[in-house]
Amino acid sequence: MSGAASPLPTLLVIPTGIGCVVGGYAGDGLPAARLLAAASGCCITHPNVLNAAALYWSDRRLHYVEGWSLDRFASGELALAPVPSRRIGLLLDAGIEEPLRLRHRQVADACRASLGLPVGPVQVTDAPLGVRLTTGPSGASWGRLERPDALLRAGEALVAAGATAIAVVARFPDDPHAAALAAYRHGSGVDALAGAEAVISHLLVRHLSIPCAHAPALAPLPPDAGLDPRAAAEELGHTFLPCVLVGLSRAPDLVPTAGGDPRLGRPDLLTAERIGAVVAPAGALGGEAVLACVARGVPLIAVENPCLLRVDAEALGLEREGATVLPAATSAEAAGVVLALREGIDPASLRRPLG
Amino acid sequence: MRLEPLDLWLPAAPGPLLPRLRAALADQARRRGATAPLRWAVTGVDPGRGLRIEGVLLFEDA
Repeated sequence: MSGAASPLPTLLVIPTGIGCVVGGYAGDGLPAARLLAAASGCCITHPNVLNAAALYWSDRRLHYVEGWSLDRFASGELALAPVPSRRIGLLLDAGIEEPLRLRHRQVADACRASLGLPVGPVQVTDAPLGVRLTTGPSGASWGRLERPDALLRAGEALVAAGATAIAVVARFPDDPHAAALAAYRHGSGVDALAGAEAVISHLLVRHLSIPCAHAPALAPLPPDAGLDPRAAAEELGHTFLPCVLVGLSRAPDLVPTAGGDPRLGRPDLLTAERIGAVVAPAGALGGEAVLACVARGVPLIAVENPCLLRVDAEALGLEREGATVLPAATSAEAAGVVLALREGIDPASLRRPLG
Repeated sequence: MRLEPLDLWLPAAPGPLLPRLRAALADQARRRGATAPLRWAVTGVDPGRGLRIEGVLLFEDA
């Protein structure tokens, strides 16, 4: 018997701001996502995994879904409808200085001219957003905004002007001499910006129900000969925006599963019922998307990927709840397990001794 | 509209985990007058106290 198996929609989650050794830096989860996309034929993941500032990878088997909507998708409240393209509005924080704002406008111009992406309109917020970085008791990065109202007003204006997705750029605090930044650049710390970035995009997606993603605006850093390769993508250019524009350019529509939306009848619709596997770091299983998948009986592939947290399947009692937890030492092994599931091979049959 | 940090413990108890987490988050939001948890995750485990949940609460008051 031969022939390709049908795609096995696979959710890849690498939580933001917890220092994952793979995926905790500047888009360094992308190789794993590409491999899982090839193994599954359909990988749904979030911007933190795919965004590498000036670097990106476009693959129709990779679906770019912001974290709040990813949670709603996994919970069965949203479905995903692939689109050929979408018009991306650019939302700029009034707190960004004019020269840096110009750099971001020029990224939009470059993506229009060189990649053919429909980018625009552009909207500047009516007040600086006031991003504040915070750290939780666990050491995970979180964050807040002083003016979430200004963010949402600008988003509404972009939608009214025709945008079907929003790339938001907020001015983040510069602290080039901070110990946390030095650790991050040297490959041993937490992305201190990530938590606040997630808050910004969650707010917008929750309010507007369209794909949104965030890029921070920062002053350039002095060159560092000891820069870790995983952080290097963020030091190639003046902005972190290109990957966001590319990711959003084919981000799927977010379709409510309640209410009779006509897109619910589309044969290419991705729904929670179709998820065939969820892949996440073994020590960071306590997020809503992973737990929602586990609750509906989706096999969980728990990948060794050290991070700040120790929230594993045993600590959460997932196997006592009847979850199928499949360990994987690396993302390559996880891809093998996904391929086995896609081909109808019991992953346990590949281990010895046979259970 | 404003955002505030969230930090709470969910004691060990029988029953499926996700519904208990959602109920605890909704209860915490209600007690503090928040609209909803905007973002959350289980970030720690303690044998005595249970599961630690960190997050951000959204308040949509005037």
